[in-house]
Amino acid sequence: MWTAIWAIVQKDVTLEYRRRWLLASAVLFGFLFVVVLGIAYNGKPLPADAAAGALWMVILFSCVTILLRTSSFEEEQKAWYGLLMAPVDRSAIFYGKLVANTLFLFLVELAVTPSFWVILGVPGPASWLPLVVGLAAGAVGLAAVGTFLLFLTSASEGREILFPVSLIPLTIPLLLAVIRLTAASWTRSDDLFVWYAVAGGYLVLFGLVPWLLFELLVEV
Amino acid sequence: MRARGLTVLGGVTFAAVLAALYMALIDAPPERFMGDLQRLMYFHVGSAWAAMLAFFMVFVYGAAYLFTRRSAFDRAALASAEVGVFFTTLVLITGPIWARPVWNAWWTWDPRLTTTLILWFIYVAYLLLRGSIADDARRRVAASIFGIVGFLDVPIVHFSVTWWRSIHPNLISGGTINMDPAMTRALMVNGVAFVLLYALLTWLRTRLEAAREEAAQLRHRVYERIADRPDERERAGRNSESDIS
Repeated sequence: MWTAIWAIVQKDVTLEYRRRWLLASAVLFGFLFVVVLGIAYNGKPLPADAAAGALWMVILFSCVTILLRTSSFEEEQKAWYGLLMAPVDRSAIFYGKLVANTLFLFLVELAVTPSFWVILGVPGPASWLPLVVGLAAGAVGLAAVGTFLLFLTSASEGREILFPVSLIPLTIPLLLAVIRLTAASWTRSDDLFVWYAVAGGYLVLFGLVPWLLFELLVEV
Repeated sequence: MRARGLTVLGGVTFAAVLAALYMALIDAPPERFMGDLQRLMYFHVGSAWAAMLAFFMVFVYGAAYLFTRRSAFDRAALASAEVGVFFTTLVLITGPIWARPVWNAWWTWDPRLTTTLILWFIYVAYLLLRGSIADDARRRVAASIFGIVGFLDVPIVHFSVTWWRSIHPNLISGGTINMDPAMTRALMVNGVAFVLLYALLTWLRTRLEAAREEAAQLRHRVYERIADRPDERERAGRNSESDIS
């Protein structure tokens, strides 16, 4: 199981390293978004709540693009069938994909987030813990639900639009928690326990549900 | 293809809706501060209950389909989801109409409002997803899984949003209902009427879907027959030409 997951992660990371343009464009898109936002705010510093919202808009957009792209690479040349025919537990495929997608998302987050305090005048984080936990939990959660929905929408003709349209409502609790954590890291507020709990609970649930449903999921 | 059960349910629902209208509009007293406006509550809360039931049934039918693989369950899930989205839309329309004069805002980020809105998004996505998968078997499995996961998400959405903020009137607190008995009665009758309406609409929609699937199969068979017999194909071709001219 672990070797299978590791093999898939290695494969995806190698592919992404050789291709490069996908992650680079996602990061570039983030910077462009920040620049447009700076223009709209007329050079004034962005309030922490608005900044947190904007940051997660960028991350959501990158998530949708990266996940849709990586999965359609899998369908070119029918590489997907090769994966499904591998003599391993099928949920290993899911978790391999999940780990790879989490890595990509986290890389984009790390590259884009500093531009908020460099360009937009958001004060540097007052406390690092909620920021880092928020970014990590967001990456894992979006990758988990996203990977799950990629399988679920694989037969759909309107996948490019239906994927984000189903991803966002399903991840609302997670988004709520990580956006609050991000905003709190900029303004320093206490009593964040509940948001750590929501993010944690959400990750446990959506980390396990796909494992239970996976045999059905590959039927789609 | 007349089902006696359907006629009976139709009659009962009709009577219940009449009784509900009478109790909500005439029998129940006007509220002290909100006046007649408060009568919206009976329809607002009634459709919210029916919508909850509908989405719960999408979950149940989805699970039943995955276990038994009988397409009837999938048709019922589709019907239930459509009726549920319809009732949720009613809730989301009557809510702001009521909230504007009372809370002085069309919309607030109250937990129940937010949960209802997210619920509406989830099940509209469910219907769109169904509509975009051409293959019958794959559509049914995908829809069943989505219906289950979407319903499991509802409590998490609700709790997370509740921790976020709260101004909705809590009518039922600590097991006691803080309302005039006539109002409570009217609300209960409206609740029953809306649930019956849900059952009736879902039944009709399920039948419609079964008829639609049967018609599609028959059409498919007709095309196959025509393809088997050259002379009929010729005749069909001529007919369609004359149709065009």
